[in-house]
Amino acid sequence: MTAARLVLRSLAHYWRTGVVVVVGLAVATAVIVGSLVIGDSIQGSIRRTALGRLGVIFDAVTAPRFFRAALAEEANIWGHVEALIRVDGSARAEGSDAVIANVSVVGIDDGFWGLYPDASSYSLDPRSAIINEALAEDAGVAEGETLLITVSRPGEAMADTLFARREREETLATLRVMVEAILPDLGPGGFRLDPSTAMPRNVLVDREWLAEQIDEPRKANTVVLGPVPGPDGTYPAIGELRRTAVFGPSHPSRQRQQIKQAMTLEDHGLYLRRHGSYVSLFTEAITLTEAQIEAARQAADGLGLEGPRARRTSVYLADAIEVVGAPSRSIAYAVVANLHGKEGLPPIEGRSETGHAGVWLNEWALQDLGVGIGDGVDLRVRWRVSTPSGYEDRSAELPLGGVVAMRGLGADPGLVPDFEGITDAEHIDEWEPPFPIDLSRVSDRDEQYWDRYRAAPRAFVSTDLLKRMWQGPDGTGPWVTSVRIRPESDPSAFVEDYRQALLAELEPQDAGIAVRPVREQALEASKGTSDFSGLFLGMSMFLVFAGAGLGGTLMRLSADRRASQAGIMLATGFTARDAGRTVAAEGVMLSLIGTAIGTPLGVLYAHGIIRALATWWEGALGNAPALGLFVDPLTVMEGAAAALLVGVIATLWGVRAVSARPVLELLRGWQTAAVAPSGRRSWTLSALFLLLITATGLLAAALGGGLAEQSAFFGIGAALLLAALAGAHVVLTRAMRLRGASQSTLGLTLRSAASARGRSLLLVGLIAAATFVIVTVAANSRDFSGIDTEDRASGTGGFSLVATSSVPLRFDPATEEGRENLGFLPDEQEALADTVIISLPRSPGEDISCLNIARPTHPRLLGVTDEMIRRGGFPVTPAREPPGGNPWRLLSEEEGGGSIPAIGDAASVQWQLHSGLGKTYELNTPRGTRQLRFAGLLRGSIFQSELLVREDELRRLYPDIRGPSYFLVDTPEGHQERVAEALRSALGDMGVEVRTTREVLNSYIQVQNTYLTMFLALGGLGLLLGTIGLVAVILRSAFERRSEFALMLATGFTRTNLTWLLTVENAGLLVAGIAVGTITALIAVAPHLASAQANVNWRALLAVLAGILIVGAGSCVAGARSAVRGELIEALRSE
Amino acid sequence: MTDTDGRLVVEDLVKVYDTPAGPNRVLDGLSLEAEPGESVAVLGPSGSGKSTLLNVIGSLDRPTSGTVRLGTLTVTALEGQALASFRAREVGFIFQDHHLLPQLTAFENVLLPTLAAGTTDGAEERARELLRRVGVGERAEAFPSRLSGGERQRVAAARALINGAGLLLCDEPTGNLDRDTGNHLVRLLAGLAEDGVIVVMVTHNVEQAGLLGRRLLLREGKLVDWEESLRGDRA
Repeated sequence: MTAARLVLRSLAHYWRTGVVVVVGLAVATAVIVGSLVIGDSIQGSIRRTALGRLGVIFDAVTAPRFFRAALAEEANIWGHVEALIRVDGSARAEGSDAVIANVSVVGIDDGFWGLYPDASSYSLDPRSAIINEALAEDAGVAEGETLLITVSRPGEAMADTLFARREREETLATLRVMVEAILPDLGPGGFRLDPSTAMPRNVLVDREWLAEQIDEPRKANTVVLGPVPGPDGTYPAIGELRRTAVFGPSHPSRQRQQIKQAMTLEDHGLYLRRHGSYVSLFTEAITLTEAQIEAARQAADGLGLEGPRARRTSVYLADAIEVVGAPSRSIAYAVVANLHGKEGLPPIEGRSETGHAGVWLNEWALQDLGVGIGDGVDLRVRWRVSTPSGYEDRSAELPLGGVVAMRGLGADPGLVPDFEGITDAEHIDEWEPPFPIDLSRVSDRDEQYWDRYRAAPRAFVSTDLLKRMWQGPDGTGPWVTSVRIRPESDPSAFVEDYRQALLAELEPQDAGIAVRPVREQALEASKGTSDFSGLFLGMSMFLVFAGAGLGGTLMRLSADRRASQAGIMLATGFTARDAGRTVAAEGVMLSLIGTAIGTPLGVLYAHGIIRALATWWEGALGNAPALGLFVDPLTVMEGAAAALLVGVIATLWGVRAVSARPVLELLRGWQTAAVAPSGRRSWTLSALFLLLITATGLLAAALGGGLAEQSAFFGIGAALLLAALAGAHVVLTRAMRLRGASQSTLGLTLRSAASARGRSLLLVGLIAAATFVIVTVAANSRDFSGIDTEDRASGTGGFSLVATSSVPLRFDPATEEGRENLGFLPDEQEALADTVIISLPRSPGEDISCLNIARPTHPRLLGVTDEMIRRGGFPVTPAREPPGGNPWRLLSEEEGGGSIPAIGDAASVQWQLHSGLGKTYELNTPRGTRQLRFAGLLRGSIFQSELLVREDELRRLYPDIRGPSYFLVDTPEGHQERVAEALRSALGDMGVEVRTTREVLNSYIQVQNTYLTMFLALGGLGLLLGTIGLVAVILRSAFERRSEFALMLATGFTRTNLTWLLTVENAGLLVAGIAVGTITALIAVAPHLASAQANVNWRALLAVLAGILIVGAGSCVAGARSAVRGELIEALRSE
Repeated sequence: MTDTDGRLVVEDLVKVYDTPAGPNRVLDGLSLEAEPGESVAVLGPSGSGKSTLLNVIGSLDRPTSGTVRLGTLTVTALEGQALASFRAREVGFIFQDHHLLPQLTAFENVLLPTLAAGTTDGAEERARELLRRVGVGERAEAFPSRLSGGERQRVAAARALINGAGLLLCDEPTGNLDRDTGNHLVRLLAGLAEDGVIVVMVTHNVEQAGLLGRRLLLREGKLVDWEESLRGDRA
C-alpha cells in the first residue's frame, strides 16, 4: 500500500463526485484561461492591424506644413526612405450625393510598395487612384469607376490671419480620379501612421500629381523610413523586425539630426532677403514663431551681431489712414510698421518733430493727409477680435507724433514680407488680396507711391498697438513679420554666413517636423486602453465562482461524507496532517485534471467570445479592427497555473475540515448533526430592524434631496437585500419551533430547510446576491434618444447637432457672412436663420473615447472659445470652486507649474489617459511635451473623444491649425432636420458630417450597453451554472437523508410525496433567492428606470432569470427523483 | 513487541463531560489492569461510559484525570507524532461499524496502517497471514461492499493487528452481527489473546462477554467484577 495508490483508489471509487468537481474546475479554468487569451487576442488584433498598416515602416517624419520632397533623400538616412503627402479630405462616387468624410488622401511614389513586401505593387498614373475596401464600401465605388475627392490646399499664411487665403477655390482642390484597384484594409490599403483602431478610408494617388493639384509641387509633408531588403531582396518576417536589427544603433534622435543637417530655410518655410544695408528673415507663414525669432537672434549672436543689430519688425495693413474729423483726407490700404524702436528711422532734415508718442507718418503720407504734429490720425484696420468672424473693422485714434523722411527705413519696401497677390502686383489695381478691397478708394497718389516705393510702410506705430492688431485683445499669438539684421560687413557676403548660422540654430521641431517612432508607438498602443483580460475575467467572474465553488463545495461534501474514513485513518496511526494530505492530494489531482481539460476549453471559450465580439457584441470594442484569435502559450500557461491555484484552493477549502476535526467526531461522521434552534434570533432580528431603518433613512434622505437619488436607492436596495436574508434567517430559526410541522407539506419543507439553515441561507443568499448584481447591472442600459437637447446642463450642452469637417473651414459658418463665403445658398441661409453655431478648432490626434481601444498617444484637443465659455452648460464637475459658478471659466485660470487647464470626459480621462480631476497629463505635440491639468471633468457628454482647452492654448500648442473643424449647433425647436440638411448640402464636399447630439451620445453608450449585454449573458450563464451546482450540492446532501426518507416510506409516504417535498424545499429556496435579488435590485435602480434614458432589455433579462428558474427547478426535480430512488430501506438498516 | 510486552495499567481514570444539565462524570476513578494474553469484556448499560473508556485507553480521547500505561509507555501523556506512532504500532481498534475504506479491497484495508507506520517491509505477507488467521483469506481481493458483516469485522480485526499491536480494543464489534456470527468473531478475538495480545472488548452481550477470559461491569464510573456485581445484586 502506498499513498499514491490510496489516492488513486479513492479517486476511482468516488469518480462520480470527481467528475462533477472536474467539470466545475474545468469551467473555472476555461474561463480564466479564455479571458487571458481574449485579452491577448484583442491586443494581438490591434497589433496585427497596426503593423499590417505600417508594413516595414519604423519611423515617420511628419510635419504640419510642406517641405521639399528631396529632403528625404538629402538627409541620407540609412534605409528605405519614402516621401509622401498626406492630406485630409472627403470623397464621393461620381453621380452620388453621398459624401464620405474623413478620407485620407496619400500621395505616393512607386517605391511605397516596397514598404509592404507581401503586397502587390502598382504604378500610379496621374488621375488614377487605389482605395481601400472601407472607402469602396462606404462610397459605393468599384474598380474602374470615378471618385471625386476634395482636399484642402495648404496655403502658407496662417489661417486665422488677415492674409490667409479663404476662398473656396483657393483653399480646396477637387480631384477626379479613376479607381484602379481596391486593396484590403490590412496592408498598404489601410496605411495609417497613428495607432488609432478606427479603420482609415484611404485614397492612394501619385505624389507629384497630388502635389501639383494642391499647389505644392515637388513637396511632401511626410517621410516614412523602413529597412532595406536583404541581399536576396527579401525582408525578415514583419513580426520579427526589431529596431536594432534593422537600423543598428540608429535612433530617431540621430535621424532628427540628419534631417536637421539636410534642411534648408525653404524646408522651414523661411527666406532671407537683403535690402540695402540689412538682411531680413521672413516666413512664408507671414508671422514668425517665437522659436524662429530666438533662432534668428542666436544666429546673429553667433556671428557677433548682438542686440540692436537683430531687431524684430512687424507690419500690418491698414484699411485706411484718415485725419480725425476729416474722413475725406485718407490713404487707402497703407502698410503700417513697428521697427521695435525708432532707431534708424530718418528724421526730416531741419525739423525736430521725431520723438513723440503716437503715430509717425512718412513725408508722403504727411502730404496726403495734410496734418501737423499733434493732430489726430485715425488708423482703421481689420482688427483681430474674439467673435465668430474673428475680425472686425476698428479704429485707433492717435496723435501724429513724428514725421519720417522718404529715405532709408522711411520708405523701405524691404520691411514687408511677400504677400502673394499684393507685393508681386505691378499696380494696386492688380492686387488679388485674400480679403475684400474697394479699389475705388485707391487714388492716383496711392498708385504713384506703389510705383515708387511699393509696399513700403507709410505709418509707424508702437509695438503694443501693432501686436494688438495681430493678436486681438487676448494678446497671444505670433505678430513679428521679420527679424532685421544689420551686418557689419557687406550684406551680400553676410547672407550666406547667416543662412548657415541660422540653420544650425533652427531645430526641425521649430517647423513642427517630428520624427515619430511609429512602429514602437503602434506596439505601445496595441496594449490597449484597458486590461481586456481583466475586463473579461471580471465579466466572467460568476462563471469562475460557479465552477470553482461547485468543485470546492462538492469536495467539501465528499469530505463530510467520508469523515469516518479520515477518523479511521487517525485511529490507525495516521497523523491529522497525513490524513488531510491524502484527501487534499485527491483535490489536487482533480484540480490538475480539471485544469488539463479546462485549458484547451479556455481557448475554445476565447474563440467563442472573439466570434461574438465580431458579431453580436461588435459594439463593445468601438472601432476595433478585425479580431482574430491569438494564443500565446505563455499566457495559456499563466492562465492554467492561476486556474490550478484556484482549483487547489477551492478543493483544499473543501477538505480542510478533515484535519480540523477531533478524531471521535470524524469517526461518527459530523455531518449528521442537525442545526439546533439557537439563540441568534435576537441579533438577526436586530439586524433586520436596523437594515429596515437604514433603508427608510436613505429613502428620506433621497426625498429630502440630501443624497443623490441613484446612490440612495442603490443603498436602499442593498439594505433590503440584506434585510431579506436576515428575515430568512429569522423565519428558518422559528421554523424549528413550528408546531405541527409534520402535518403539512409546507411545514415539513420549512422544517427540513430550517434543519440545514446554514446551507439553505447560503443557497438563498448566493442566488439573491448574484441576481441582484445581474439585474442592477443589466438595468443600467441607456438610450439617449429621448434626452432633452434644450437642456444646457445635459450631456448635449443644449446643442442638438454636432458637425465635424474633414478639412478646417476657412470661413466661420457661425456668421451669415461666413456662410455666404462658404457658398450657402439663400434657402440654406434661411434654414440657419435662428441657429446658434459655436465653431471650435480641433487638433489632429486620436480619439480618446471608448470607441478607440488602442492606447492613445496623441489625444485630440478642442479649442474652447470665449463664446462657449460664456455660454457654459454641460455636466462639468470642477476641480475647485469656479469663478462665477461657471466651471468653464476654470479654463482661463492660471494653473500651477505652467500646466494648461483642461476639461475632459471623466471616463476617458480615467480609463484612457489614466488621470483624474485635478491631476495632470503629459501631452505630446509636434513641438514638444506640455502638461495639462484637469480643471473639470464631464460626465456623459458629447465630448468623450477629445480634451478641451482654451482656444488660444490650442493655437499655441498647434500653431498650424487653420480654422475650425468642430461645430456645435443649437437649433430652434423642430428645425433640427432642416438645419442638418442645410449644413450637409452646403458643406458636404468639405467633408462635413452632421450628427445629432443624441446620436453622438448613443454611439458612446452603445459600448457600455454592449458590455452590459455581455455581462448579462456571461453573468447569467454563471448564475445558471452556479444554481445547478448549488442545487446539485444540496440534493447530493439529500443522499445523507436517505434513512429519513426510508422512515417516511415506512410510515406511508410514497416516493412521489418525497420527490415533491424535496423539490418544494429546494425550488422554494431558489425562487426565494431570485425573487429577493430581483425585487431589491429593481428598487436599487428605480430612479434610473424612471428616467428617460433607461433602455432595459427586459426581454433578455426576463429570459435569463426565467432560464435560471426553469433549469434550476428542473435540476431540483431531477435531483429529488434521484435522491429517493433505489433501496431506501437499506439506509434504514444501516441507521 | 517492546513496550507492550508489559501490562495495561489504568489508574484512577476520570472523564467528565460538560452538559447543559451540568457535569457528567462518566468515568469516576476507574482502574484496570490486564496482562498480555488476557482478554477482558466490559459490560454495561448504554451511556455507562464503555466506549469512552476504550477511547481513552486507545488515545482517541483524553481523560479529565488519571493515567493509562501500556508497558513502560504512558499513553495519556502522548502527543503529536508519538501519539500517531502509538496508534499505528501499539494499539488496534475494532468498531461496531467496521469503518473499512470502501475504495480499498479487504487486503488493502488491512495494509492501510502499514502506510501510516511505515512498516511496509513484509507487510503483504503479514496481511495475508492475518486474513487467513481471521478466516477470510480467500476474500482478500473483495471490496467491503462484497463482504458480509462478519467478514468485514474480521477484516477490521486483521487491520487492527497488522502492525503487531499488543492491545486490541473492540467497541461492540458484534453490534451489527447476528448471534452466530458475533459469537464466532468473539471466539476469534479470544484466540488472538492467546497469542499474547491484550483484548479489551466492550459489549452489551453477556453471552459473548462470557467467551472472553474476564468479565467486568462498568457501573457508576467504576469497573467491578461481573460475577461479584451479580452476587451483590442478588444480595
